[in-house]
Amino acid sequence: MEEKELIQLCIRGDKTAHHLLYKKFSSMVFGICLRYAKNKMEAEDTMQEVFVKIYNHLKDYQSAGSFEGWVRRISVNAAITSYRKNLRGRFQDEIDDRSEYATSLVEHHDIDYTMEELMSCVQALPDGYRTVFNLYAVEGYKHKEIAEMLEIDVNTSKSQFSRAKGHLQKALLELSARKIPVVG
Amino acid sequence: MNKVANDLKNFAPQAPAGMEERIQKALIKKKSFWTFSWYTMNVYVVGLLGIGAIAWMLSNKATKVEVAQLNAPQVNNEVSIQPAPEVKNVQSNVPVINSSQKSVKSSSEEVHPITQITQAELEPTQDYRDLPAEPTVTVQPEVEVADKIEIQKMPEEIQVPKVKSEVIKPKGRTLKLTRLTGK
Repeated sequence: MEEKELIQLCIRGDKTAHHLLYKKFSSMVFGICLRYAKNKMEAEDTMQEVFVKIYNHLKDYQSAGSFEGWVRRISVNAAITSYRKNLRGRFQDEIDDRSEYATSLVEHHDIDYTMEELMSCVQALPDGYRTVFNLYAVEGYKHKEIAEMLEIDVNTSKSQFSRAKGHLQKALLELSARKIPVVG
Repeated sequence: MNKVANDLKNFAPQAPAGMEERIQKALIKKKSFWTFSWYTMNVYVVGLLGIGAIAWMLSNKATKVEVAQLNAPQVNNEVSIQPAPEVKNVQSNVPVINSSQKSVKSSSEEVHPITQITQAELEPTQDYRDLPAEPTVTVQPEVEVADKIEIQKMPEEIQVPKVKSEVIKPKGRTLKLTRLTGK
């Protein structure tokens, strides 16, 4: 079934079409939600909101862009909305508390990790760090755009990202150090 | 970091089981208010019936009040306005002599007081010339004026019972409010 046909059937309320749409995009949406959420439960809540939004606003989708991009954007927006709902005004505290991580960053190409480990490291980041890191490094937004989205200062966004990067590198290095067998 | 970012971007884990049903349930919940369904229809019907019953009761009450008002004996509130008798300036035959100017003036310029209305003046259609010369009838007000007015004098001093300023203290121990737990 073609994407357009699937969308039209979903608009009409066809349950099979709904199921097919879910099957096609559920993994991608859940991945995005996991990245932005603190834990699995929060990710599930966000995922539910995302699919309800998708089904309700399918009429608004204009076929100019890709449907996958549209779904991705809805997912990211839902994650941001959830973040703003729960954690408004936490940025400043996090900056003050964790200033020691604003150090020069070194690229580590040889860090070995599984996806679950990486995800747990990302989820362990403070909420503000995680959101900015995802938006900048993964989604590719600019700091100015992130600042507008999260209603923060551009410099705050920049510092949040650099600290998130430092945090993540440290966590991954610790992870790989634990894996190296100690030769006595 | 690029590698980490790419890995994160491409990460697409299996969605948890039962998630689809949860989404469908949430979708039905959100939809149900405005979209037609038998459940909401029943709610609307019950609501409409309730509103109708209240409206019927209120209208019934209003008609009862109207019927009661109609059955009540009518009170004639109309006030008939009768035209007041015209007051004409009647020239009296008695000339008024102005002593200072030594001329004779007719008394037609004088205005009669309301209490001194002649019998002839009460009949407006008749000409004053045809009227017989009768003495004027004066109507005196029926107000009795007391000859003597007695003014009662109030006693100058009013004795007010004094309030005792002493505060009576309760005898024995003072009571404290405690919980009703018995402690």
